[in-house]
Amino acid sequence: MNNNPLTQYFRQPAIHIRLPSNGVGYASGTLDLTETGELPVFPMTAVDEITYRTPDALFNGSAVVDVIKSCIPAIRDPWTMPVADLDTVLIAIRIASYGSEMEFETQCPGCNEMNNYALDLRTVLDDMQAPDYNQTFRLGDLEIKFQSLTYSDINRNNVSQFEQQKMLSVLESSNVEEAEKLTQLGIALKKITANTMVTIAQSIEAIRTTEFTVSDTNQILEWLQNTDRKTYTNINQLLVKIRENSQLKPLTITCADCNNTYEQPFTMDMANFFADAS
Amino acid sequence: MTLDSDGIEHLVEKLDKEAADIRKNALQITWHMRGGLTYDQAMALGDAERKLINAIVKEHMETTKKSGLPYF
Repeated sequence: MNNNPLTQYFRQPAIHIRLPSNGVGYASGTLDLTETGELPVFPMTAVDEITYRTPDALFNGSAVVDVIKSCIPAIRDPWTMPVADLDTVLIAIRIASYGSEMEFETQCPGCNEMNNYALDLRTVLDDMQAPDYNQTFRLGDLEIKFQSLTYSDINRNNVSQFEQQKMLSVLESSNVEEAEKLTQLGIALKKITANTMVTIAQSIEAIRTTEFTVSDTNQILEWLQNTDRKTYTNINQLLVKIRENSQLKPLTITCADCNNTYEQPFTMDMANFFADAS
Repeated sequence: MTLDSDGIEHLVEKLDKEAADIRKNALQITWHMRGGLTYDQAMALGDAERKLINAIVKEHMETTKKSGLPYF
């Protein structure tokens, strides 16, 4: 209990949200769910806005974690938050901070005209769903059960992927001999493949047969590294299938100039997260 | 979001400028509040509250200009 008499003047929650995961997948003690299952969302402070604009903190993921801790204190450890809740949480923070309307610019692929639209982010929030990780999949004798990656997993994988891509782009423009370039390219591609495999292994909660259950990520990774291509591809496709309902859906737009209807991908990233600074 | 190195450089510059603008605005609010709000308290305000205070300051400046009274 906070005894500070000034608590009544602290910032107030602007909205309340329900997590797509309903709190499933959070480690014990990392989420304070209310009686109604909803979480209060506070607007960002000026400090949060500056944190979210600090490039190094954005790159290593700590900016997102600090802002979530400040705006949704009920999520006590955002690093371990299931990534299925991430878009909902970021959209909720944006709504709490700047309101539900988000303006964006889009180019019609039919006539190349630029058009400005306003999107009601509440409708996006209403459509958010979590993947159903209760279902299991059979691959021959094996029964596969998936799980959500945590924000920490996805952030680590993204940083590793970025470093490899950066290395490739530096290599492309360098004066290194062609043979050496090919060697380095091979090494980088191997690292990217290994990274993808780790991500898939982290996405598998358990593999069961009639005789045993394996839930150790290292053992699952070892199995992925030594399985045949067809099984690996099937696992990948199952993951895509299980996650497809939880992706942000593209927006259907009708061009104001030529009436062409097209789909515009929608993501919640740095380019559209902030409204104009005050 | 996918950006090339020029795009990243441009984004970093934009973020730095916006962060500086937020700090400057918090200091302006503190100055106009004449001690009614500390810098820490201004930094704890949300975007909506900062916009409201900015609007009040602007309104006050205009009234002062019209009335011809000194403004310190």
